[in-house]
Amino acid sequence: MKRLMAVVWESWLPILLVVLWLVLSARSASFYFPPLASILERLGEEWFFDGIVENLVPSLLRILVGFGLALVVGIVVGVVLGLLPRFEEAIRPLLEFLRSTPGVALLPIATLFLGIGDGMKVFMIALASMWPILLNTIDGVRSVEPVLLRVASSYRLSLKHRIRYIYVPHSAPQIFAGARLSLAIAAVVMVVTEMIGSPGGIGYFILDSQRTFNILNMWSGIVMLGVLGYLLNFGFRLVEAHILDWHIKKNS
Amino acid sequence: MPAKTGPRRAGLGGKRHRVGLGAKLIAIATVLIGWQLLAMSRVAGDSLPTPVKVLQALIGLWGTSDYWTALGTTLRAWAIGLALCAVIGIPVGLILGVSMRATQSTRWIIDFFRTIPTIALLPLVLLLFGASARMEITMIVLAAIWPLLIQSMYAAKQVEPLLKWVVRVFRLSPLDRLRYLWAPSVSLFVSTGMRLAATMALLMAISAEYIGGAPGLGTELSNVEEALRRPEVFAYAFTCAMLGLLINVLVVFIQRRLLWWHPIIRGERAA
Amino acid sequence: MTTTPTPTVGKATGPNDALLVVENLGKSFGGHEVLGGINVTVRAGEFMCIVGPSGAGKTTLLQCLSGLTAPTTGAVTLRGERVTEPPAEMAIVFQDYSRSLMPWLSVLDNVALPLRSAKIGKAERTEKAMAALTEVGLKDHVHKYPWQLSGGMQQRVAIARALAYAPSIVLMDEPFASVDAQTRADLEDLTLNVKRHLGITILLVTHDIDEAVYLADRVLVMGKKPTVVVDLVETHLGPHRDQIATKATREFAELRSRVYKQIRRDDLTNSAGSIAAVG
Repeated sequence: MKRLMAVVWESWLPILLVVLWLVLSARSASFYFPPLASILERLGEEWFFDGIVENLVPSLLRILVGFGLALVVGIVVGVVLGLLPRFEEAIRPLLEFLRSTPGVALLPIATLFLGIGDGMKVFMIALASMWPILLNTIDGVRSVEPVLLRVASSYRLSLKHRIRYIYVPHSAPQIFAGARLSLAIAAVVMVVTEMIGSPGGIGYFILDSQRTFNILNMWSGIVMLGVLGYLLNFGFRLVEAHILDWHIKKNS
Repeated sequence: MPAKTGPRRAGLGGKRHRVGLGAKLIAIATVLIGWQLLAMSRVAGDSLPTPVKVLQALIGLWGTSDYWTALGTTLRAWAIGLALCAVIGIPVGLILGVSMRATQSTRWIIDFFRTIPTIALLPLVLLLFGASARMEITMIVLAAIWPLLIQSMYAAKQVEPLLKWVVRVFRLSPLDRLRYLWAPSVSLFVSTGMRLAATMALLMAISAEYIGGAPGLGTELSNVEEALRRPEVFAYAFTCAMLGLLINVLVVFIQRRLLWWHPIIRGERAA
Repeated sequence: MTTTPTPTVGKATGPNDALLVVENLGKSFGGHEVLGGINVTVRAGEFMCIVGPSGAGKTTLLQCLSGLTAPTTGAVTLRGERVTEPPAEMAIVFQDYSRSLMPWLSVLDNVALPLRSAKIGKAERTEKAMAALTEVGLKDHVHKYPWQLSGGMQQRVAIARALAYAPSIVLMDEPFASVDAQTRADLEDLTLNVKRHLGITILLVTHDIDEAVYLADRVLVMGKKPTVVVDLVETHLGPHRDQIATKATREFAELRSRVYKQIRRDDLTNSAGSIAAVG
């Protein structure tokens, strides 16, 4: 009963808004805001299943590979820098500089060397979304309880095991917090690189539809991107809940 | 996690410095020299300008009014967009955070909007407003309001319950409660939200200019790129990066000035 | 304040008159009964300690007494007036000093803050706060921040804050549970001195039997859940007490073992009951 009430409270407003959109746009003659029913109809025609193969899958692959690279590089470099505090502090201004750089500003430089293909897109996604993971990993490694390290050295744990069993698990909650932000950045960069890049991908589809004034297609692309973003976040949560099981239980 | 309550070191906290300014300068110099050598070695072909050339280009740009106009235009759109985010996002976030029912009711909507890349709405907003400052500001608000709203929601939820009792026990007026309990309590999370929003707003400003064509640094970047003026491309990219860094430094500076008393800022508790 | 139908209003209450009356106070959380019908009368000017085993709902009781939480059944009245919100003449000292003081205000501002509700000028606020801080021995630390002080000193700030508010009754919720033994003894004596000096009524919750007997004029002994009053013990240890001499007297030992037995007996019957229930 309690759970049911919670679901009702969480869902009434989204449902109301969608219904409102459906009803209010039903007779819309506006060029920019077509009826939701037409958008959904177009969604079915355009995306199932040609559009999914042509545009959704490439986008998904790019963001997964780019974000995956960001994770691997961010965590590895983060652990190394976390273990070398003096070196890390020396290069801190450079890290801060790179971190604060709006990713888009690097696009012309990336296209200069890598063109406008998949390589550039994946590279930009990885580069722009790496920083929150990297910096949070450094902080996580840095904040390991000294007592835990003393225990580790009294048991003569090797560096490899210390990283595997102490540093990484201890930093995991912080790494995930950073990764959540990274995922949002990765999605933005994915869309931006697709908008300026070669055909194939949701970002390209949306901008191209707008340029050819195919408003229904543009809207169907926006809705599709919303679904993709939501699914990515959902998948992220599943992984997080699985890996951070101990942390969530401890804090509840 | 409960705060440790043992006696604390009096005086100013903050991180210990392990290395001096020298090491940092050496690190920066190493990168610059490496870049210079790489550019001269022609491994990268003609496309990579040397840092010296980039610096020359930057100084050259400083003499033009285009550069300063672009910088001013971008900053103005950024500031207006961010201010709008603050005016809307902070109060709405706090109210949603205080009410359990409001939090529940808006959970899915906020979750949805924070996950989807709002940049996807650029084509639509472009249709509505054209390549203008209005388009740019709308994009900034659509994208940067979410981190601020979410952080404000968290802020309202983590006000110390014991202090809420304290102000009730000592019968403080609503205005005093706002001033002495709520404002200081939420300031850390809200300022963190401002920091995220400021970064996001800059990213959106430059994206809207670079892709959407609204006047500003992004458009200039796109122009010099098309004209194949590579040192200028680097100079504009560097300008954007410096802008990002300065904004970040400024927000952190304000945060430290405002929140020097906070355990996290004092470095006694992990965030 | 509105006038009350009771004959004793304001400071007219003499010693040994009823100040705080608790009638059939019960509290349940979601069908789970925590307090089961408590009756007690706190006299003006007395030091009452509420003692009971951990998890006996003592803190819940204090919250109901102060009007922070509404009781499920029964009522609390202060000078004949029903308590629904914290009354103006009541102050509370909480256990967790690290969370009950505002880290963004200096010690002096923390103590002066409650006086804002009394609508008095800034100079007078400062003066009263200084007097209270002097009373607890923190005259030299007024411009520091709570987090720059030791735990014991922070709890002194919390006590000074309560005193500056000039209440006629102070509720203290395990105020010395989070400090070390030596500091604890110091704070106990400080509380006794302040009480004697200012003539206020103190209601202190603790799980420590020695502390309860040492401080109190009367000890209210609570049983396990749902919490009920098991015993009310008068101490007769006199107004002047000493950590070593008083605790070495035979009266102290007798009182101590009486309270201890009450709590033990209640514990035993409870566990015996639960064993019987299982078997």
